[in-house]
Amino acid sequence: MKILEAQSAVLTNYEVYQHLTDIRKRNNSSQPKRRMPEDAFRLSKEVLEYLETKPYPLHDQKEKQHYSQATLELLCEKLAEKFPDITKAEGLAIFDVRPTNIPVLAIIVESLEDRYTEEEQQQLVDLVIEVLGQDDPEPEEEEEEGEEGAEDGDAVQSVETANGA
Amino acid sequence: MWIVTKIADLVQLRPQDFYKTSLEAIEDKINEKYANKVIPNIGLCVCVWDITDASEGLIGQYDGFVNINVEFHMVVFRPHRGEVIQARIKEQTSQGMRQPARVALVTNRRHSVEAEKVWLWKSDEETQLYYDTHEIVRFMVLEERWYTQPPTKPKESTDSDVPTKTTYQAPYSIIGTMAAPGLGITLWWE
Repeated sequence: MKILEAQSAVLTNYEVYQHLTDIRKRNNSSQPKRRMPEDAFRLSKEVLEYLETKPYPLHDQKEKQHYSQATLELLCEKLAEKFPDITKAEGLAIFDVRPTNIPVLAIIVESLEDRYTEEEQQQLVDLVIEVLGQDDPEPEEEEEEGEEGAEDGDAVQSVETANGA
Repeated sequence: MWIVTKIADLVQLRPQDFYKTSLEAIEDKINEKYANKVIPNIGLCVCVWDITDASEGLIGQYDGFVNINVEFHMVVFRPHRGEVIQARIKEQTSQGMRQPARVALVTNRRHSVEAEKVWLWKSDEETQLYYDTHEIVRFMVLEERWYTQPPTKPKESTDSDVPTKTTYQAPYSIIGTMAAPGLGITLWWE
């Protein structure tokens, strides 16, 4: 084993998610079904579950498809146009975490308050919501989606039990 | 949180694997060797991203294995310092909290006091916010620790059959903080 380049690129959560789901789809559709080696299979399952955990924005990717290669490009374009001093790392974090309110934005963007006025901060949040979407306003108690995606009936049920408790 | 690392390695395909296409066989072999393993100072390998180069396969004289020199990109879990990631609280001790992804260890001493074996955050005099186990939290990565298990001495034979306690230390731990606005349990900031 020889490491040629320790870090040749950085990936977003979406790209890793897409790569793993693609592999899974390809393996399931081939005849006979292919399976990754045990460790890789388990880890990729865990990574997918992790990325689908709320509040990561990919948790409703299966239903809503907020994320795609095009949204990534669109976000980069709009950030470069309106907020040129957002660094690459911050842009990546915005894409991964999808901050839909100012406190969460403040932990991602360094010294947010010194760099932007309150109005600009709100504009940035609005931009994120516009490009990447946001969660439904009603609170959902559903913690995690199953592998095949939680069905509607299940989600409703879990909300009810949580309210009753 | 994810990086791509370029690695060169020798892949040996067994004759049993010849029914697969070369690309699939090579990918499987690499995943078998690397996935779920930590490379010191690189990170936790997840799976192959793509294969960039492969030499001609040379068949070994005795075993019939096909030897191929392969260059490939690996998806690696390696959050950088200052990055904000989320995790589920797994365990809480006086030292801090442990969170999975199997590699993360989180401590936050500054804002918290220990009571009822859970951590809590006194946001002001009256309000106390609890960190419950299994909650999802956001934290900021402060540092990373690498640990390589040194080989241990063989046990000298004794009469007593007391099993010695094996100490396990994660090869890669991430130390983070939740002592800042916006960090901590994600529901607080919704």
